[in-house]
Amino acid sequence: MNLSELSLAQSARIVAVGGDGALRQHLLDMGVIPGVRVTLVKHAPMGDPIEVRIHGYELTMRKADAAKITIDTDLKRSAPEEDPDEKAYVANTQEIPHPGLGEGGRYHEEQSALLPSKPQGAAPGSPVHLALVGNQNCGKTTLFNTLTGSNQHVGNFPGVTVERKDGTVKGHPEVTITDLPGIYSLSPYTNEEVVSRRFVLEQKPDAIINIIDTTCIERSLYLTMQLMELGRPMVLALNFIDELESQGGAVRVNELEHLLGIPVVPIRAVDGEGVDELIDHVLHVARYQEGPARQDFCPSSGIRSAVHRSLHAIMHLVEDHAERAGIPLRFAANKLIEGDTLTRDALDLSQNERETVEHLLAQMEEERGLDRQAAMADMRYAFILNVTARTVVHPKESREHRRSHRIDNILTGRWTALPAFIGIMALVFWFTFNSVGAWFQELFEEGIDASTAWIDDLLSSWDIAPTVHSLVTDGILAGVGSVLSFLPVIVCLFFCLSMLEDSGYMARIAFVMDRPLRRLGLSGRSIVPLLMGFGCSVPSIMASRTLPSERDRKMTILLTPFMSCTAKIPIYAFFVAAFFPGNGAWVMTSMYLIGILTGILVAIVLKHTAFRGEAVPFVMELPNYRMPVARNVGHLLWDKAKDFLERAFTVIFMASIVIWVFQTFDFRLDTVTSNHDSMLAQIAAPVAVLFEPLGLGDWRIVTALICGFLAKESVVSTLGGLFTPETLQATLTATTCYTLMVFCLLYTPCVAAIATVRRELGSRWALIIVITQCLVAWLVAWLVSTML
Amino acid sequence: MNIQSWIVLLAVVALFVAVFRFYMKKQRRNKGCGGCSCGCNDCEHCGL
Repeated sequence: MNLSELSLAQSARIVAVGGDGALRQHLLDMGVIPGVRVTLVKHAPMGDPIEVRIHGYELTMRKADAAKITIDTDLKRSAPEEDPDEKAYVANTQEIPHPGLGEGGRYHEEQSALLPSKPQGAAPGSPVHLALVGNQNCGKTTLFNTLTGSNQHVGNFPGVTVERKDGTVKGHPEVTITDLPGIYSLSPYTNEEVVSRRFVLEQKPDAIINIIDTTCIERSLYLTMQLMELGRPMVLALNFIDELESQGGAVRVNELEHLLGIPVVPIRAVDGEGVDELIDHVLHVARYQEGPARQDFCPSSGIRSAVHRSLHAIMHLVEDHAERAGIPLRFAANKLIEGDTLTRDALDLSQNERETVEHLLAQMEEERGLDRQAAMADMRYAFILNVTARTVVHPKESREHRRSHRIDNILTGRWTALPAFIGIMALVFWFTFNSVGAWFQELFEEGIDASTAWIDDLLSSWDIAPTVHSLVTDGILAGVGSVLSFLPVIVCLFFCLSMLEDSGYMARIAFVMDRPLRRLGLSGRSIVPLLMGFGCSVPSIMASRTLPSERDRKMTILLTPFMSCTAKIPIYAFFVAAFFPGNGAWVMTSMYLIGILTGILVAIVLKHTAFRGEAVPFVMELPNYRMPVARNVGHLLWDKAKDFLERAFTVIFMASIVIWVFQTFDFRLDTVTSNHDSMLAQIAAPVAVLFEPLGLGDWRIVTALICGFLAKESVVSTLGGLFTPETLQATLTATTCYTLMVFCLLYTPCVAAIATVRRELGSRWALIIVITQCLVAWLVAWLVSTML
Repeated sequence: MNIQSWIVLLAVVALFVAVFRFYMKKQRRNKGCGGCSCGCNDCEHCGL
C-alpha cells in the first residue's frame, strides 16, 4: 500500500521512501523516513495534493509523489525496534544542572581546560559577524527585526525571505547579523538553500544563531544537527515556546543543552523576550570560538552502527581533501554519503577514492537495510527522537493548531475552498476599489485639487510668466497630482495582500490551487508570486526564487507581468472616470480578468512550446493560522507608501517636466501654439502608425505609452498634460478607450520590473519579456477592438 | 520675464537636478552587482 491510498484520518507507518534525486532527499530531510507514523489530514478540493501530519506538523505533497512512499497501516507490526544502544547513547539526563554553555564563569573555565588548544575568537569590541539560520516560517526575520530594529518584511508563508539581509545588532554596533532565507537542511534543494549553505560554508560567520519553531521541534532539530556538523560556534534559540507551554507542553532546556552540547535559549522573537540572553550567549561563543561539544550522532554499536562505521571510514579517507577544499570534515563526509554533487565536486576525489567510498556505502546499505540517503536521515531522526523523548513534553494539540484545523475545514474544505477563495478575493477588491480605498482616494483628490488651486492662485498673484506658470501647473502639479491621488488605493491593496500572507492563508491558496495550476504547467507555489503581482511585479518576481526549479521560476516570472499591478490602477481609474462612469467596478474587474485569462493562454502556449515537462513537485509545510502582527503590517504599508511617494516625486516628477518641455517647444526651442507642432508630436508620430489598426494612432497616446515604460503611472500624468477632458472625449470612443486600457494592462512591464527580471534571469530574458508582452498586448488589444 | 518668474524657474531646475541625482544614486544602490542571480547580493561573490 502507498501513501496516496491512505483514507482520511487514517494513520500508517512509512516502510520505504521511493523516488530519486532532490525531491526524495527533500522528503527525507522533512522527516519522511521509514518507521515514522503518518496521518492523512485532508485532500485538496480537487483531490490532489494531499495534506499529511508527520512529526507534529502538516506537510503537503502531490498524490503522484505520495504514491512512491510505501506504508503499512498495521502500526504495531511496523513499529521500529527499540535499540538499547541508541537509548544508552543519549545518556540518562535526569536532574541535569544548568550546563552553562555559552556563558562565562566556572563552566567556561572547565570547558577551556578541556580544550586548551582552541583558538580565541574576536576580542571584545572587535567586529563580530553572526548568521541567522532556521527553517522557513520559524520567525527568523521577526527575530532579525527585533535584534536590529529594522523593518524587514515578514509573513506567515514559507519562503518570505529570498535573499540575505544584513543589519547591526541594537546596543552592539560591532556586531553584524545576516538574515538568511529559510531552509530545512543543508542539501541544495532550492536556490535559497544554496544561498544559505554557501554563506555559512564560505563566509564562515563567527557564530550561528539557529532559530527553531519549538512546536515542531523534531523537524527543526534536523537542520540544527547539520549545522552542528559544520563545527561552527552556534546557539539554539527556541521560538514559539510560549505556544507549546500554553497547552501544557514543556522543554527541559538544561537537558536539551546538555545533550546537544550547544547553548539553548528560549525566546519570543515577536516581543524580544529572551533576546538579550540569546545575544549574550552568541557573543560569548563567537568571541571564544566555542564550537558544539557534540558532533557524533550515531552510536558505535546497535542497529545504526553500520552508519557510524562507514561515516568514520569516509572521514578518514577524505580528511586531506576536505582540508584542502576548506569544508568541515564531518559535514563533507555526511554530504558525500547523501550523494551531494556540490560537495563531491569540491572534494575532487581520485577514481580510487571514489570507488572506496562506493564500496563502504554498499557495505553500509547491506548491513543497515536502507539506502544511503534514508540511512543518514534515519540516523539523524533517531538521535533527535531520543533527545526529544527525554527533553520535550508534547502538548496534546496546541490551541493554534485546533483553531487552524477548524478554519481549514472551511477554507480548504472540498466544497468550500474555491468559493471561499473567490469570495475572499472579491472582498479584497471591494475593500480596495469600492469602499475604504475609494473613500480615502476621494479625500486625497480633494486635498490635491485644493493645493493645486492654491499654488495656481499664488503664481497668478506673483504675475509669473505664462510659460513658467504652465511648467508648474500643467507640468509638475498635473503630472504628480494625478498619480498621488491613488496612494490610498494602493495602500489598501497591499494591506489586504499582507493580511492574506501574515494570517497563513496564502499557503492554503497554494495548496488549493496546485491542481489547476499544474494543468498550466506550474505548481501551487507559483500562485504566491502571481498573487503578489497584483500588488507590484518587482517583489513578486523576486518571490519566485522560492520555486525549486529553474523551469517553474522562468515561467512564473514570464507570467507575473500579466497580473495587473497597482501602478495600473490610476490608468483604469482615469479612463473609467472619463468614459465609463457608473460602470467602474465592471470595467476594472474585466481588466483583471483579461490579464488573468491572457496569462493562462500564454502559460498553455509556453507549456507546449518553450517549457515542456512537468511542474516542480509540491512539497510544502502548511503553517498554523496566526493573527497578523499590527507592527509588521504597519511597517509593510509604510514601506509601500514610501516607495510609491518616492516614485511620484522622482520618476513621475522628472517625467512630467521632460514631457512638458517636449510638448511646449519645437526643435528650434520656440514655444508652440499647437501641440501638433511640438517635439513630442514629431517624435511620436512615426510610432503612432503601428497603433492605427487599434484605432489608437494619435501621437499623444503613443507618447503616454512610451512614458509608461518608466512607470505605469506616467501614462496618466502624460495624458493629463496632453489632453483636456474635452479633447480626450473627442479623440477616443468608449471602444478605443477600452482597447487602450487592455494594451496598457498587457504591454511591457515598467523599467523597475524589467531590471528585476534582468537581475533574476539575465538580459536575454528581460528582452524576451519586453518583446513578448508588447506583441501579446497588441494582439489582444486588436482582438478586443475588432470584437467590440 | 520678471524676476519672480526667473526665481520660480531656477527653483524648478534646481529641484529637478536634485531629484535626478537622488534617483540615480538610489538606482545604483538598488542594482547591486548584478553579476549572478544567486541572490547573495554580494559583489565579492562573483568577483564583480
